[in-house]
Amino acid sequence: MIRVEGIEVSYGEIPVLKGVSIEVNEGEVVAVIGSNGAGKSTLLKSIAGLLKPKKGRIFYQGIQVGKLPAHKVVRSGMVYIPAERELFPQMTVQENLELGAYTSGIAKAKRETLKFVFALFPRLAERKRQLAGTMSGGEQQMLAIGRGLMSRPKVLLLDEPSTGLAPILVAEMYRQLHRLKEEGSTILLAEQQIPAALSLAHRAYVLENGLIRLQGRANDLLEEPEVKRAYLGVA
Amino acid sequence: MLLIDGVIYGLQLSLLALGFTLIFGLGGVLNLAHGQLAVIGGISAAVLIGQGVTPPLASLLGILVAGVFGLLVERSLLLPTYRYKGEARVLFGLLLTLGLALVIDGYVKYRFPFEALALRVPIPAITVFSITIRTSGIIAALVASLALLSLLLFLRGTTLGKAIRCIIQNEVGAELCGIDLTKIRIIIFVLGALMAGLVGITFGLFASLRPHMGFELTIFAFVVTIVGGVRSINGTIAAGILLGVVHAFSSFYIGAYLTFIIFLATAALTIVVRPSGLLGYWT
Repeated sequence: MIRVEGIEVSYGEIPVLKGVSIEVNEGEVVAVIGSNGAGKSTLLKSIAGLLKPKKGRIFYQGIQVGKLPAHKVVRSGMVYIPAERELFPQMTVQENLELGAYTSGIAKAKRETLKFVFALFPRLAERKRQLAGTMSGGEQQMLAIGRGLMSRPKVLLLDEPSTGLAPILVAEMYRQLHRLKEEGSTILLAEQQIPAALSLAHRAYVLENGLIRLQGRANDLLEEPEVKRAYLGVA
Repeated sequence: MLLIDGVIYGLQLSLLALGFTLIFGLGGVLNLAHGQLAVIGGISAAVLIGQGVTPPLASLLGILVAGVFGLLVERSLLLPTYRYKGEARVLFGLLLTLGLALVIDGYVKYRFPFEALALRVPIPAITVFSITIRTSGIIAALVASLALLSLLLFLRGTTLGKAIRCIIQNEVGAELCGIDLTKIRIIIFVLGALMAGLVGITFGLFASLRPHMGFELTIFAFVVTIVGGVRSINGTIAAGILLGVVHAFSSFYIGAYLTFIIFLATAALTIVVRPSGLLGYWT
């Protein structure tokens, strides 16, 4: 569904991705794991159209999307959910969600998606009149994911959903992500919480200094000595 | 009496400043030619009336001229500014719009030096509770209130209006919702220009709008924006009315020449006391 071919991305003069290729198939959950600064976010932002690769190509459903602006990528069915959340702080939860459905014109479909999001995160339903800026970090993360889901995306690009969350909230968040997976959602996930990410994903890539270091089935990577040593703190 | 005059004047300032603050909030451009857009609207109407067009039609056309002019400016002059971000864009936009303001000012003053828009209505004044109010002033206030109200309803109640507010709050977030920033920037600039054009017309109702007034109006819009809180919609409206009243009282008791200084002092005081404006950062 997504095919990234050897993309190179830099911030100014500093290269961040030095030729990265990955692939995500329909209905698959794929994790990109790695430490801070490895280039995970950069990879997702490039696919989402927020950053333009200097080299390489990005295909989505066979069409090259590497040069599309971000808002057109959303219309094509890929939604990026940033670690920074990028919510609208002075709008209510409900308004934030409604704006997530900006690209879909049918009111009835919007209501149904809203119901689905509220079922997934009952917390958001309880707080729908609260201003987004006054919510806790965990609630904001739920809202960010909920807003992303509102456009009924075919692919979710999920950037570090665990950022800044207490461990108990991370577990809660991942329970909902497992539900999305069971419903057949296609998800590309960037994550530093390696065990949580690998237990969710079908496959994973290990990104290190802007290059893919390892790749394979998530379960196999969990057993990989290199992954254990570098990321799980096991000798 | 003074209070009513102040409120009438203030509503125009609110309308002018609201366009100014929306354009800044969305495009990151402080439009220093904003007052000149009002002059374009008003003087166009005056010229048309001079050609024998009826005042209502001329007013409508004047507003349209300002809007079309705004569209042309946004699509040509401002395009390069959007390539920059943050402070660079603000500074570049300042330079370009300052240049534009000077060009408009120079042209209008050279071409139509004696033109002035002064719209007179048949019934000069009415008396309510022993207070005499000029009818034209009431019309100006009604028109401005109606424009402000519909703008508020548009921003709060419609999807497009909400999209505009959400861009002001978070540009990246808006893009990730699939909102086309370029398109909405155009809409807002044209809307701002139309409102400025409208102010040019309503100004002619209770005062007379002259070719040299562009900078004065720009500065008023700027000061109202600061006092109301940059990017704050409710604050801008409140600040416009407040400063309109300040303007009326200080012109009457102190003199017009000092009004400008009092205006700037009010702005400076607001920055010290309430850095985020009268009502804070509420969009």
